[in-house]
Amino acid sequence: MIETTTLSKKFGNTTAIDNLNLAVQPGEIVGFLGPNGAGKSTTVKILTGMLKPTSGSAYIGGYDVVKHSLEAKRKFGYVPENSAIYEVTTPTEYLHLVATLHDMEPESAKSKANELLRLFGLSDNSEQQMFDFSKGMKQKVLICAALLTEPQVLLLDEPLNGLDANTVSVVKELLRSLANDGMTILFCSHILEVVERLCTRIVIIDRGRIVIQGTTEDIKEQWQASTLEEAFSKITGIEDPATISSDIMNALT
Amino acid sequence: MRHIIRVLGGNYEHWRVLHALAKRQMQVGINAWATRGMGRIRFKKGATVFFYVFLSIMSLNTYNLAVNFPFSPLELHPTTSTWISFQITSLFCLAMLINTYRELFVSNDDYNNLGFRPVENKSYFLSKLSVILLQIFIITAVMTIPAIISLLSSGQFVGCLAFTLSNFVLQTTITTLALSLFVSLTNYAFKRGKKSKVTIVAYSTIFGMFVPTFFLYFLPKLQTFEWPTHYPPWEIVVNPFAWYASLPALASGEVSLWTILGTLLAVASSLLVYVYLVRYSNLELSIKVQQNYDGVTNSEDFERPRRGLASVLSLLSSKRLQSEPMWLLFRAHLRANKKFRGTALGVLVVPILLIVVPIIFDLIGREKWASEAIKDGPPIMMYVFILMYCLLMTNMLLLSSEFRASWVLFTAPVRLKDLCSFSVRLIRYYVCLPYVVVLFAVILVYGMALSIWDAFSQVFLFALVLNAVVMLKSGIEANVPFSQGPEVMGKFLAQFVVMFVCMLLASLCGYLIPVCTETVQAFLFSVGVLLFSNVCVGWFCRRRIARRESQLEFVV
Repeated sequence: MIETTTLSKKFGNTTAIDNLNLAVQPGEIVGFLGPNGAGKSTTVKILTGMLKPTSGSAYIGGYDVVKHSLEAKRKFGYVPENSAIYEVTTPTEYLHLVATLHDMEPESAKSKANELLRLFGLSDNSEQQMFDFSKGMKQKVLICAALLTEPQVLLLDEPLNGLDANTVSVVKELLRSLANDGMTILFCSHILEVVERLCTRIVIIDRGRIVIQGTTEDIKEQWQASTLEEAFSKITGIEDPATISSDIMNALT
Repeated sequence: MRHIIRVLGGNYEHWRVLHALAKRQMQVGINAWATRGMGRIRFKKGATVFFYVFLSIMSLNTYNLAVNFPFSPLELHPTTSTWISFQITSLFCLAMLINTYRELFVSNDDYNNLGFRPVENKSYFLSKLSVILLQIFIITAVMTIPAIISLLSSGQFVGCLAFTLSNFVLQTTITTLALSLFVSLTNYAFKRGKKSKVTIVAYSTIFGMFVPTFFLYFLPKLQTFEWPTHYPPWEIVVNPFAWYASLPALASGEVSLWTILGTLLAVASSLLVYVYLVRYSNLELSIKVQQNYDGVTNSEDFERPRRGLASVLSLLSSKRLQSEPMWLLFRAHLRANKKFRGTALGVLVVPILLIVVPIIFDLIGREKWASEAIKDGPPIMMYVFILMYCLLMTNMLLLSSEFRASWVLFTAPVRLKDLCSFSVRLIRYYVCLPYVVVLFAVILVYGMALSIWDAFSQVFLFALVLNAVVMLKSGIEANVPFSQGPEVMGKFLAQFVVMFVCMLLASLCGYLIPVCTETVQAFLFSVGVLLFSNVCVGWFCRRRIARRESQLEFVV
């Protein structure tokens, strides 16, 4: 359902993604991990059509994201990492805009939007402009917008940022249920505990290349680590965090 | 609506998308325009409205004093002085307008919000243009009401229209500039603490400007009561100086019934504009924040305001007002559905306005009943004014995060290569071709009807307008991924400096061009100024691009 073939992206002389081959099947929740600057967000932006690849191809729902971008864009819901939202609109107006752009029936979209807002605890704020919304509130609206269009694929870039603990639990359960119903989910996050518990498969990239992929247990076993966090540190070549922390403390004093 | 559109041959699904996009663009555009002036001034209840009125009047007076003061030793003819003032004012106006539309053209929000939505470039592009047209049309239409009334009373329709527009834009621009400056300084001062030296200096600077204004300009003018008797009724309607000066005359019965009626209509039309802005902006929010600044600690405690002036005005913003622009959008959509011809026509309106407006001013300048200021100024000044406007636009974009657009604009006049390098077929075939053909015809006819130098001027103007189209296209492209954060305060101050520099250049033109006895000299002079400016801009731009690219590598 999500597929990239020798996908590459260069910014000037910098290679952000280097021959990336990635495939995510329906029903999977794939954790897409990597250190800062590894190319996660660039990959997601190419999948969403926000960036064009330098070479290679990417498909969503069988559609090439460059050649058939409109068809591909109708297949997925996307939660961006930076809480990008039209703050001038109210949540209701924003969801209405999203529904319209996805060519949904107005009445059913309206009732579904209201229901989603209610379930995410935003009913009281549904008619307020979002200028003064907290990050978590904006994130909830974005999640509602991503789910509203009933996508076949979900692209989540740090979706839990700013959410309170209760909402995080709800979202995690929701993602499991959606995956069980056959949805394809690509989950980018730095919260490794969540990834470890939630994702059925993990892909770790560094400097634009996939360095390892498999289930959490496979990766831990392969790198002889007790947790995913430990394995991640070893894979991405970071020294012992305790040593770095100690060095920082020394530098501060 | 679905049936109506289908009966009329439209595509309902496309209309819905266009409608939704344009509605949001309208919100963003108006919001940017409105909040630039109001900002979030941290005043208590009631003070805001009073301060707004006070600052409007005083900033207009300060502006007039500031513009006229440097020329006072030269003892220029009043007409020349007014004319220079008009040029500088026009630059200010256009700087503000283009800065507002820049937020529509090159919004980073759009990239983040719409980049991954199934939206065709055509719809996106058309919605932006529709909204800009709508904004121009609605504001113009509302502000034309007094002119129509004046037509009934005096028959001076074109003169009324020109002055209505220029006065409206003048008032809006100067007031919003003053408010922006005040808001910026206030916010800065708040960060430093109310009793800090910075705060004291900031407030002293602001209010220090008003003291000489009050005694040297405002008070004497108020005492003379000459405005109502020296100016025709329609100017009283649209000119704020005349408004407050006419109050005693109104009380004593010296002013006619038409003036009173016109004034009332002007107030009503202003209210309509304000209501419209309230509907599509966050002015209510601003007022509420001002009222509760100290009390608001987080967004959960925040409530939408339902009292005071804002609530009354929000009640006035009836559904009819809200639906009007949508009806206009519908018409734009119908045009768009006829693809080739429709899109081209829609896109042509703004550039043609740029052609037609100077022509109107030219025509006004040749009539006896026109304003003295315009009549005595040579028509070529309109083109100088547009040249300066392009230069200013370049600089505004250059100093914003969308520097890439300025890079394209800088290559004035436009080259054939720029036209041919359009990658979007829609623009190349649906916009440029009919654009070139139609405008060439307009220019040719106009040039033949007038003198050869007017024709040359028109061709040059035409090239500049084409340049604006190139900017439009590149501006939309410049959304990604170069906008790396607003740096609001720095941008504002930088733009302010640029505007000041452009003012100086405009003053130079305004002073030197009347010295030139032949139109050709004036024309060549203006071309020289533009080219020299562009060389300077280009040099600076290259450095900036190099710096941005290094930043980009770092970000990536």
